[in-house]
Amino acid sequence: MYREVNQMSRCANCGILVPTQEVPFAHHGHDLVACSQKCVRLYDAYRYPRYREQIERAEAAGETTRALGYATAD
Amino acid sequence: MASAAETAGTVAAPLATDPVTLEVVRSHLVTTCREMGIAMMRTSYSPIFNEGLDFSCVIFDGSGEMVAQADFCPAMIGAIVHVVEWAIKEVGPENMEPGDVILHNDPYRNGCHLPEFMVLKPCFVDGEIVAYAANIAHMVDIGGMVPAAFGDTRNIFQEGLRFPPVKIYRDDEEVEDLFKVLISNVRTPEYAYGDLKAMIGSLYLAERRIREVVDRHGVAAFHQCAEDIKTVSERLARAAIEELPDGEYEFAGAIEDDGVDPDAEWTIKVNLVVDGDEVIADYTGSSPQSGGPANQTWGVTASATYAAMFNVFGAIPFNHGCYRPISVIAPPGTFVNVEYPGSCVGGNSDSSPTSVDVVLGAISAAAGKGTASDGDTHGILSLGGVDPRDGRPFAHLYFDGFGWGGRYSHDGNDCQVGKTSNCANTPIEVLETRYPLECVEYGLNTGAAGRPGAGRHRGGFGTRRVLRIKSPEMTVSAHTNRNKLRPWGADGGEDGGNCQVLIRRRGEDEWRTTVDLFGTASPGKFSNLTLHEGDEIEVALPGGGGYGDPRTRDPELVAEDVRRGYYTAAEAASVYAVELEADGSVAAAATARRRNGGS
Repeated sequence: MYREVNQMSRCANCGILVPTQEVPFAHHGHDLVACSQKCVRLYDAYRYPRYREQIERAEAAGETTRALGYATAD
Repeated sequence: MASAAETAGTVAAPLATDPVTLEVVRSHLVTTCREMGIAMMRTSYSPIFNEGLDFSCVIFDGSGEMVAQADFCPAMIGAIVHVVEWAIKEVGPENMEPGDVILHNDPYRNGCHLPEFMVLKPCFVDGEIVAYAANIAHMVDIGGMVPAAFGDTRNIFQEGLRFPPVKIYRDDEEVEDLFKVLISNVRTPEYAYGDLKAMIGSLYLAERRIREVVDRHGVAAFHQCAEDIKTVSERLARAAIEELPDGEYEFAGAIEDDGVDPDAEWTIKVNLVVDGDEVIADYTGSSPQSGGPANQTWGVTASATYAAMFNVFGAIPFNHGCYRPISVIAPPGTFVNVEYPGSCVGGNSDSSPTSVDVVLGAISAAAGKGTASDGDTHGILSLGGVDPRDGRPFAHLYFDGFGWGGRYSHDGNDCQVGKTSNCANTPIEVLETRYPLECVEYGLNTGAAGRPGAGRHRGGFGTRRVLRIKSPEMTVSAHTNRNKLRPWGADGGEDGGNCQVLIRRRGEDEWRTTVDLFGTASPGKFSNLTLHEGDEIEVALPGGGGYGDPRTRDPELVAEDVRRGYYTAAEAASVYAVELEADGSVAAAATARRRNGGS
């Protein structure tokens, strides 16, 4: 069946839509999805440390996994 | 980010293919891409293909990574890396058969914008997919509320027909039902059919050429060549990045007026992280997506990033290897990664150039070699109606060149399309032959509003064109930028000029904005205004920003600008502190006094 794009996963690091071959990974107790192993590495090394405060605030507010990776900078 | 050991291991690994064979195969593939483009030019119906060259042709290897491209449209080439990858993953190689051709124009699936149709053909040898041939091309009309697509659309459904990856050919035959859906939903069905067939024809040409090179070298050797081609480019790209000092470099620019909220602005912000031989372009902090058509898709933002980074790489073979050291982070729901069903038709064409300049601004900070902003708007008009000469409907996408920004080494170029475009204008003769239009004036935009920024290296000039309507009625829509914001100057250079889209009714003297004449919300983005025979449209595109203090510009260059009519002698004195003699030559002593603080 056809799947609309808003039903697909977003890479937690880069934000790209992931049609298939998602790379699931666990991070700080959450199950996330990336588009590649490179993005898993970058999320760990760059995105999460840099935006940790915003991401954890989103977690505390009960945001969805989809939103967790994308807390925008204040 | 890759560890040093990982990177070193990749770079240090010897190539399996001998250099001669590698270059022969690489050149064969690149030449094939160029040949694809020539075939499209010569067999297509629309001037945007055969004059504007608004398309790109590429070859991917069996693993779904780009190995060759020709020098066409960078905006498409950057995105096609992701578009093709997406189509291969979503359809699945296991579901592809010899004789299949896949069509895909969905902007959210890593595409550019809806008019950008991508066709993809798997190339089989002995039952195995050894490569894919693909191209992206700008289809002029795709249905939707505006002929030729560009207006003040609010969502994707107003923009036109959207195709997820679907097979448009099976067993080397047209999927007739799909063609019927397509050509029954566009205003110029003959053009759409002819252009699409030109695109597909080029894939068959590429397939023949790919088979030739595989037959000559064997499947295994071809696969190895493909890997080595990418590895060489990756090494060169990483070496170029390593020349930049490690650090974080922020830069931001803005897009005005999305056609829905004319007083708002949207920030495009990048943090360029240079770490060894890799870079991250992090767009976190950019504005939320707009309600109009100026949003960028993820693919467009990535493409703009790559286009800017290619200035760092220099003349290296561009393929998937170049992209490996670059990571793009674009938060969904923002101006740089629009979410369904947000409108985005203008983001690829007229927001993207600003994104390139934003990244170049960050690179300039890293490299210590600056550049000012380009004019960054193509003056896009979407024109539609019925040609009274033959009674047939037409749709035309008009765009033209703006001035580029001055840079550390020289003045900005005049009359160029964006750094992600590489397209050509439509010549007057073609324009007047194919459409009921008369080109009344065409030249540099030397008007006060659009003039480039002064600087040690001034910005280049944009174009100014006046078109007269030659049909009883014509529908006019527009997507332009820089009607309010000006291209930024750099290092003491002045900001560039503004864009103007003005209308003069038949028999009247006064040029008026569409806000004044039609009550549109925006002077630069509007849809479906009706003009009549004898009415005229002026599109005056901005000059780029200036680089460096104008008072340090070579006086001889200032004198030359005055001789060409770009500045008056009084402006040379007030802006550049250059005094001229009565014959136009530089008055050296007076100039020195003025530049040293005298009057």
